[in-house]
Amino acid sequence: MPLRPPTKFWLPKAGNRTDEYEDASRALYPQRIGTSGRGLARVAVTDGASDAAFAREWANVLVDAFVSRTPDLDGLSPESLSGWLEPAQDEWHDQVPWDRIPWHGEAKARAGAFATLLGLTIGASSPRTNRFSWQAMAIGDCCLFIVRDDRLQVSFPLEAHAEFDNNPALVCSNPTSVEGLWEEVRQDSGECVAGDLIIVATDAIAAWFLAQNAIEKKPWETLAELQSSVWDDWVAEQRREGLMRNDDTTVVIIEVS
Amino acid sequence: MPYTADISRANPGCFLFLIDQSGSMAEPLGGQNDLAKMNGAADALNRILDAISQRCSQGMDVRDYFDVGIITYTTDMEGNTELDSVLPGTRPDHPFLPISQAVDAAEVVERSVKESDGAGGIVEVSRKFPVWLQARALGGTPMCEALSEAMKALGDWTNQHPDSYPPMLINVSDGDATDGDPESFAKLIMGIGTNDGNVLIYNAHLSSMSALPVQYPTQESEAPEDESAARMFRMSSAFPDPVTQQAAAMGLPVSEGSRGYVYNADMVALVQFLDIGTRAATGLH
Repeated sequence: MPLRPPTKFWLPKAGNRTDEYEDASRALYPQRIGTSGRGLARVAVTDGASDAAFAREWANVLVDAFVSRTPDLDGLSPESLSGWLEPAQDEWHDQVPWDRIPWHGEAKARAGAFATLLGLTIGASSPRTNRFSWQAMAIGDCCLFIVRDDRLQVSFPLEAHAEFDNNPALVCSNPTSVEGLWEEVRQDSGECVAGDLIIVATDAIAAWFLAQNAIEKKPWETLAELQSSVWDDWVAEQRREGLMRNDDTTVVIIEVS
Repeated sequence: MPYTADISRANPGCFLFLIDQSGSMAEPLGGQNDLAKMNGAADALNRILDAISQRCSQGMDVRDYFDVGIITYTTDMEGNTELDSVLPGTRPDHPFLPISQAVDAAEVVERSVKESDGAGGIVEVSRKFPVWLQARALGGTPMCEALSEAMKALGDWTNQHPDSYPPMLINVSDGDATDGDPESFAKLIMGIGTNDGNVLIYNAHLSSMSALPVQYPTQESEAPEDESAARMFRMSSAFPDPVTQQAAAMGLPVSEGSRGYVYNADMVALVQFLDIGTRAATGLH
């Protein structure tokens, strides 16, 4: 099995309950990694904007949509992006209990929920080689990192800690509010080989990763060694020491072997 | 850097409103014969608190990102100061409730309003509006005593929340105190704070003069030529840099040194500049 099953870690913002966690992640692996379509491994992470209503629902709808009916990243266009988003927006709309929303939530619900999104597909470069090709799309500040030979090879779409702020580009659940979205879409692709480490992360841990990398601390070593039994304590310690922003924190790690 | 603390339930923010309910507030608002200042004051409070509630709403429930308090000030027939803490179960020296409880205390009224239908047309729809305060105007203007009481409440609050974003005191008045010079009290309040900065005082000045509305001036000379306007300007804090930057990015008429002072103008937009996590309002539309 050259592409190991992903390891997923997540933790809500300190002070929030588990049911208030508004990041979401999904990974879907086929039985056998192929070159296209349903043969692709698919990973998605998102960060629902805490300033919006029903953000948790939207975050989950978005990552489900990416892994279950992955958009064609080769031919992504403003029209195909809108067409891909529409069923997800409908689903979010169906999940909102419109007739029970209190007055304070009405305007926000009408405006829609917002979330960042990073979607990644990994497929075999050709049926007979051990090389993989990957494609990624991003809206906002969830990041993809690929580490090879103990060096950070790919940092997408952001490359430095200083690029993170509280105003990332966001996908809206309201179809009337996607004007300008296409200009915010970032795409990248490349190959990965045995020994590579693929890391997909939401903003708080992605920013931590890039800050650590900037001071040559090799953050991938820390992540690769993490066990689920110590994850919560480890994140809490980074937050306490001011190294990681107190925010919902999510990371998916894939080893290519 | 000050004024950068994250506003969260562990370290909530704080709004304290002081509302002038003196007799002069029954006079019409400058340039608007059909609207009394007392209605303008109640409306300002209800709208700002509505905006705060909406910022904290997750849809079905409200997260306690803020403590809020409302103190009205006037005098009785004998001229004795009357301070009233409006939220249920509170007192002027302990005026605060978490925003989720303040939300429950609102009386909700439905009004029909005209809105864009998103396709270039206008539709009339029914919308809900929360009301915490009814208009009232009788008696004198003990603004100094109100500020003095606010100082005690804010002192307690900052002691209990040393790592929070500093409290914001919003004073809604026509500006003419009847119990002394409120400026010295305002200066004292601006001297207390949290580890993240000192209390910010914002003044919504409602005047019967028909001078042009003023928003967020940088100099006293930009306020209307009137001693009470000049005093209210001096009693208003300059916006911290992060607020100025957010406000400018959102298209508000602010520049370096702008103060939290409006004259016969709206202050609701202030609520949008506070960071409470990943922001949706300035995201893609």
